[in-house]
Amino acid sequence: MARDPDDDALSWGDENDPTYAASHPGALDEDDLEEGIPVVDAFSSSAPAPAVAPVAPVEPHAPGPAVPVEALGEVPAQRTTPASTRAAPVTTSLAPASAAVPATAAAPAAPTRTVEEEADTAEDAAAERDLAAAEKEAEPLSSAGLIAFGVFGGIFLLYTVGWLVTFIRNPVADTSLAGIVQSAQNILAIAAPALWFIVTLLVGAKRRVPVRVVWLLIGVVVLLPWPFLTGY
Amino acid sequence: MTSESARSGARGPSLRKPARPGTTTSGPTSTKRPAKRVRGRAGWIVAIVFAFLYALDAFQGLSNLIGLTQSFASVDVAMPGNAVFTLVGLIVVPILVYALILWGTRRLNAGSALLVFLVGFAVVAVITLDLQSLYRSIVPFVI
Repeated sequence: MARDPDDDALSWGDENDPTYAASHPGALDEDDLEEGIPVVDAFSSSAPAPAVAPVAPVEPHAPGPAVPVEALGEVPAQRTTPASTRAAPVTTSLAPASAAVPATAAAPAAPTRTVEEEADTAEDAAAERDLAAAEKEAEPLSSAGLIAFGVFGGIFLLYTVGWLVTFIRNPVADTSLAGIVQSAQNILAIAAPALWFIVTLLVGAKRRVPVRVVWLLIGVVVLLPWPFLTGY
Repeated sequence: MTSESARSGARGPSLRKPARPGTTTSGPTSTKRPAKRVRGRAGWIVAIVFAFLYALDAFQGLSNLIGLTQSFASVDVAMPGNAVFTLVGLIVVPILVYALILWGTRRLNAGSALLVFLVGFAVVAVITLDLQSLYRSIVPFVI
């Protein structure tokens, strides 16, 4: 049966473990590793799978040298996707699985790091974008924009006066539905310039100043009090 | 035959598999959808309520067109072309303004859409008064 690699890692270096010497004939102590004794010879001499043995000790950071080759050969087979492993026919030899060991064993560390790094990078970019947007929203209105809005406000105020004069000039005394609608239209016409100005600044608050100025310019053209100018 | 049917059966899922990435590609589009906000239920309620108000203006223009045309016909006087244009404008303007605002507020929330519809209704009133004054300047007498 395959040994659990965690057990191997826990018992690694423990010379008092009776199973240590039996299951790890070629294993080395910590002192041996610190002295730089090559592990290749110990593994190659007792390894049942010679194809894997020269590859595994090459990585210095991995706990591979203490793990027996037979465990290395079987653990990745358990870690690989169960569906593919179980779906494989029984008649297939174990050699492909053991041959795939270095790739599958070395693969998990690098992609997880890149994914985490990518996530961190994306979070940093999102935070910078939010900060830039907040700064952009919080920055005060430029002097030109402020003057332009003031000028347009004055124009719309004059328009309101014009529509008010028109309403006073043409009083609606009719109490029928048409008269009520006419009165409502007059009142709406008086309120239209102020409504246009306020709603343009409210709805277009997140737009650029030139866009808001264009909309105010359209309002100046549309809301011109023709009845006041023509005298009707 | 059985082997062919088995092959075809085996090909069936394989042929369906390319459709699955299509469904999975709908995932990113669904994640992009929040960026493209559509009109919600409250927005449609606002649009329908203002549709009645804009329709009231349009029917007022329609009644003006029908009534004044009959008045001119009753005295055997041809209505000036500019006057007909202004009366038709009284019908068209509310519909046109409502259509523009309905399209322009498709991605706004209900509150903003309400404000824009209100401004549009006021603009319709302004244009109606403009056209009425224009009509009075064209037809200075009351029939």
